[in-house]
Amino acid sequence: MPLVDIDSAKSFLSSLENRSEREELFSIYERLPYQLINDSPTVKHYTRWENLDKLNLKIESLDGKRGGNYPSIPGYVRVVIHNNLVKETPLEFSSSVGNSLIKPEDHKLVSLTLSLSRKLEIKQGGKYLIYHYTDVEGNFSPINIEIKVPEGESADVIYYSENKGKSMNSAVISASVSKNSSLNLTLVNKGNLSYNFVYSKARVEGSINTYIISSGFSEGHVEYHSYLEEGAQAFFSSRALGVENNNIDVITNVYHDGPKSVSNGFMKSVSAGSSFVVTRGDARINEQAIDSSTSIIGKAIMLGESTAVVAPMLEVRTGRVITAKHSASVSKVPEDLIFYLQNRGFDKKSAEGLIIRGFMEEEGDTEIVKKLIDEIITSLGY
Amino acid sequence: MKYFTLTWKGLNAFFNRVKDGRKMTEEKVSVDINEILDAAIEAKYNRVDQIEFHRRVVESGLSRSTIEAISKAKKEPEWMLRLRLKSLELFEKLPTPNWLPDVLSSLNVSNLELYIKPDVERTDNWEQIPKEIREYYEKLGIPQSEQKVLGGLVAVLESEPIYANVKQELQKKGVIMMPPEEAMVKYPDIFKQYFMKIFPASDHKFAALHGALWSGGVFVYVPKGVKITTPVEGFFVIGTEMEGQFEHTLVIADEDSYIHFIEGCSAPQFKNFSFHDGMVELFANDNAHIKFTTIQNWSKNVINFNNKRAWANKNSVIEWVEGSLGSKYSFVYPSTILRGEGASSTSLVVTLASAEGDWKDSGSKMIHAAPHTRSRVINKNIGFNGGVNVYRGLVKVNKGAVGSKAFVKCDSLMLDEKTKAYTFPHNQVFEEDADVAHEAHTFRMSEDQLFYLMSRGISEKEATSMLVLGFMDEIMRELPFEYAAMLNKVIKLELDKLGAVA
Amino acid sequence: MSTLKIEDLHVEVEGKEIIKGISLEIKSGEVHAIMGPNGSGKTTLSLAIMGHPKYKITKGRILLDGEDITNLETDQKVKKGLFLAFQNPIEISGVKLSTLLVAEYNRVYGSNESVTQVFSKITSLSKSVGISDSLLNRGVFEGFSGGEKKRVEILQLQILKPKFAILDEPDSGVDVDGLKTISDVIKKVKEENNTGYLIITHYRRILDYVNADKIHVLYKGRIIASGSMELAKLIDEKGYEGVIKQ
Repeated sequence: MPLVDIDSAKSFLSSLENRSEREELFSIYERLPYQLINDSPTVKHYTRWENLDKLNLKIESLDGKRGGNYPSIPGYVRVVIHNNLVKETPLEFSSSVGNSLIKPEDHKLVSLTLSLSRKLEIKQGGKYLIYHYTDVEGNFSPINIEIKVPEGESADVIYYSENKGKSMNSAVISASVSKNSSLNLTLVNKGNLSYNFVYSKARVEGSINTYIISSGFSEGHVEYHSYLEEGAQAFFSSRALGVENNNIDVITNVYHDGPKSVSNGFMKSVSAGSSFVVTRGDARINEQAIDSSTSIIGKAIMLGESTAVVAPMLEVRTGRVITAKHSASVSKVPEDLIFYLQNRGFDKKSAEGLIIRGFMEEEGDTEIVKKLIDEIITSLGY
Repeated sequence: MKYFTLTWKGLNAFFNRVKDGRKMTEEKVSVDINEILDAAIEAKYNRVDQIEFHRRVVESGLSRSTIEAISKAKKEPEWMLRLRLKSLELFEKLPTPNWLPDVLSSLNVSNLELYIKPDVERTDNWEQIPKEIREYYEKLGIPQSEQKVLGGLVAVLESEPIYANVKQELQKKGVIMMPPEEAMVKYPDIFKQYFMKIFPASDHKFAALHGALWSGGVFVYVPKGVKITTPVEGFFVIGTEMEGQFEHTLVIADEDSYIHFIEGCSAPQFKNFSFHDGMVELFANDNAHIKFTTIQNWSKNVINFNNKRAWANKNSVIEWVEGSLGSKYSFVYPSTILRGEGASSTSLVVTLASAEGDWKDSGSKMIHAAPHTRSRVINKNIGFNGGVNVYRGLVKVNKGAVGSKAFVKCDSLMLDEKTKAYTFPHNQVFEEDADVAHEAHTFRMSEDQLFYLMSRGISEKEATSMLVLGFMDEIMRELPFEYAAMLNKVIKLELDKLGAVA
Repeated sequence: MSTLKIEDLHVEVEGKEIIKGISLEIKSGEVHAIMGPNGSGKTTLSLAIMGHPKYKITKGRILLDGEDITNLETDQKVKKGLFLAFQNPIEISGVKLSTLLVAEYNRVYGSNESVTQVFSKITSLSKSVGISDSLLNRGVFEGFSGGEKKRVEILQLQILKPKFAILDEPDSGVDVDGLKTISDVIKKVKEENNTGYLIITHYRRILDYVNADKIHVLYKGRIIASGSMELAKLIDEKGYEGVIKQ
C-alpha cells in the first residue's frame, strides 16, 4: 500500500490546471526511492518511511466543521486552508506548477506535493500567517509556498500546520531573501498522533531568522536547507518535542556559499514517553565562503523511556574560516537542579516542568509559539 | 636510544622455527586491486549488480580457488578455510560503504602481490627507494642500517640484548606472542573464540576482504594477573613480519592483566605495496587493561584501511592511541564495545593530512552496552597543502546502560586555505539516565599566539611547530619518550612543506 | 515557639561515613553557628538534613516540633519550614530569576495579587539586597559573581520566611557592604518571623553582626566543642588547630 491512494490522487490532480505537468511530477514521485544514503552506521532511516507507505491516504476537499475560530494574530494577513479547501486568502494562488528553488527530485514527497498542490506566492514584505489545518481522518493535504522578499523589505511569515489522527500535511516552502532585506520564517508543526512532512529551502543574501517547531507526530519529518550568499546572516532554532510513541526527525542544514557569511543555530529537543526524537543538521562552509563562521549548539533532554539522537555535522572546505564549531549534549534533567528547586519548595514534577519550560521557551517567540509550547508541556503533565 | 639498535639473534631463531613449519615456495598470487576498487565504487551507485561484481572480482584474480590455494599452502585447519571462503562471499554481497570516496577509483593502485608465506614485499635494492624518502631519513638522523629496515630492504636489524631480554621476560611470565598462523594451530580454542568474532567479516565490505586474505600479524595472550609494565613494541620485537598488507593482530588480556602494545613507528616507512587492509581485535577480560598504540607514517603511495575493535568486560579499560601521519588515504575507526559494567575506554586519534589529495578518514565508535560505562574520544586533525581530514564518530548508549557517560572532542587545525575538515558525529542515546556530550571546533592558527611567540624572537616556522605540537599535546603525552621525540621531528619536517609550491 | 532537633545523626557519602553522630537543638529565634576546618563535614551535614539523594542518613533522626521529618522529600521539608542557602548554587540557564522568585512568592502568599503587583514587590525586595533589574532578567545564577549568588540566596530567605534556616557560608566571597546587607536581612527575618538559624562559617565577623547565641566546632564529622561567642573569639585567635588540641 502506498502513502496516497492512486485513484484519489489522480482524480484530485485532474481537477487542477496544468494536468500533464502534474502527471509528470506524480510519476517522478512514483519512481523515486525515499532515501539513497543511510542516515547513520546503525540506524538506516531515522524517519520510518515504511510507516508512511501503509497509510493509503485520500486527497479530498471537504468542508470541515471547526469549533471556534481559526487562529489569528493582529497585524498579520491570514490564509486558511482547511481540508484542502482554501477558506480564506487575500493572496494569490498561482496557476503554475513547481517551485523555483525546490526540484521534484529533491525528495520523493516533494514531487508528490508539487504534483497535487497549488502555489501560494508571497512577493512583498509584510506579515503573513498561513494556517494549514486538516481534521478529516485519512486525508492528505499538500501545499506549495514560494516566498520572495524584494530588496530593502522585510517579511514575517508564519506557517502553522495542525492536523490530527490518521492524516498528513505536506508542505514545500521556499524563500528567497534579497540583499538588504530580512525574513522571519516560523514553521510550526503541531500534530496529534498524525503525520507531517515539510521540505523547505532558503536562499539568503540578506538576513533570515528561522524557527522550526515540531511535536506530537507519529511520523514527523522536517527538512530545512539554507544557502547563504556573500555577507548573509542566518539564525535558526529548531525545537522538537516528542510524546507517547512519536517519531520526530528535524533536519536543519546551512550551506555557506559566499564569503563573510555568518550562521548561528540551536537545536533543542525534549523526548518524553517512549518517543524517538532526532535533531540533526549539517553546517557546511564551501571553498569560496572564506572568512565565514558557523556555530551550532544541540541539546536534548530525555524523560522516561525515550530515545534522543543529536547529530550536528560540520564540513569546512576552506582553511580560511573565522570560526566553525558545534556541540551537542544529551542528558536527563540534572539532579542538582531539581534538588535546588526542591529546596525552594517545588516538588519534583514542578521542578522538572520549570526546567523544561525554561529550556524550550525563547525570547522573541510569537504568541502562537508561546501558547503552543506551553500547551505541549502541559499535556506532558507538567 | 633504544630506537636505533636492536637485538635479533633470539628473534631470528624464533622465527626460523616457525618458517620451517611452512611450505617454502615463493608461490604468489596476483590480485588486481584497481579493478576491485573500481567495481566497489560502481556498486556504491548501483551501476553494477551483484553478478557483474562477482565476475569482475574473479577476473581480478580473487576467486575461491585463489583462497583455497592460500589456505592449503599455509596448512590451515578446515574451519579457517571456511571462514575465508565465507568472507569472500560476504565481500561480494555487502554494499560498498558510503564513506568510500569516489576518488579511489581514479587511483592507480598496484597489483596486490600476495606471497603465500606471510612476508612483506621487499625491494631488492637501495636505489628503488624513492630519493625523497632516503633524504628524509638522512634529515631524521637515522643510520643506514635502520634505514634499510624502514625501507623494507630487510626484515631484521642488527641486534642489541634489550629486545631478546624482553622476549625472554615475556615468555617467563607466560605471555604468548606469536604469528596468528602458529597460534591458530597451537591454541585453537582460544583463537577460535575471538578471531573475527570481535570484528566479524559481516561488518563491512573491507572487513570481509580482510577475512578472505588475511596473512601475518601477531597473536598475544596475557595470562591472569600478569602486568607487563614496559610497552611491547611490535615493530621491533616482532619485526616487519607484522607489517603485511592484510595482517591481523589479536590481543587477549585475561583478568587483571595489563599490556601496552605499540605497533608501527614514527619514522617514515617506505612500502612498495599500495593497499593495506589490516585488522586489530582486542579483548580485555574483567579488570584487565589494554593500551594499544599505533603510529603509522607510511609513504604516500599507500591506501590504509585498518579495522580496529575491542571488547571491554567488567571494570576493564581499553585505550586506543592512534597517530595517522603517513599514507595518502587512511580509514581508521578504533572502536570499543563496553559490554561489562563499569568498563571504560578512551580513544586519542591524531591525523595529519599534509599534501594535496591526502584523505584522512578517522573516528571512534563507542557503544555503551552496560551500566556505568565511560568513554572519552579526543580526535585532533591537522591539515595543510590541500589535505582533507574527516571525522566520523558514533556514540551509542543502549537502553539499560544506566549511569553511562560519554564525551567526544574533535578539533581540526587548518594551517592554510586549501585544506578541508569534515565532522560527522552521531550521538544516539536510548537510555534516559546517561550523559553524552560532544564538541567540535575547526580553526586556524591563532594569529595572536603566533605574533606573541614571534615577538619573543621565535621564527615563524618554529612558532608554528610549537603551536601545532601544543595542539597535539594530549596525544603526545601518551607516547613513550622515543616515539614522542621522533614524532616531534617528523612533524617539524612535515611543517617545512607548509606553503611550499605543490 | 518551634524546635529543630538533630538526634545522633550519621551520614554516609559513596559508602564512606562523613558525619559520625551529631546532635543539636535549635529553638525559634536562636542563632547557632557551625565552624570547623574544610572537610570536617559542614556542607555534608546541611545537604543531608535537606535530603540530598547522594547523602545517606544511616542512623539518627531529624525532628521538627516533635515530628520525625528525617525521610520526607526535600520539598516537603521546605513546606514544613526548613530552608537552605547554598554555598555554591548551580546555574539554571533558561529559567529567569524573576520567574523563580515570583513562583516562590506566590507559594508563600497565595496568588491573590496581580502579576504586576507581585512583580513590583519582588523588584523592590531585590533592590534592597542589591540585586538589579538586569540580574532579575537573566537565567538563575547565569554568570553571577560569588557575591551576587549569596545575595540571591538571602533574598529567597526573605521571601520564604522559614521556621529554620541553614546558611552555608553566606559570607564567603562577599565584600564588607555585602556582609552588612546580608546580616541585616538575617536579623530582620529573625525579628519578624522568629526564624532559628544554623550558620556555617569560618569567620567571626558575621557572627558578631547577627549576635550568635551558640557556637559549635565540627571536626572530622563530630562536634568537639560547643560554647558562646568566646569560643569564636578563641578560634579567631588560635585557629582551629589551637581549639582542637584543647
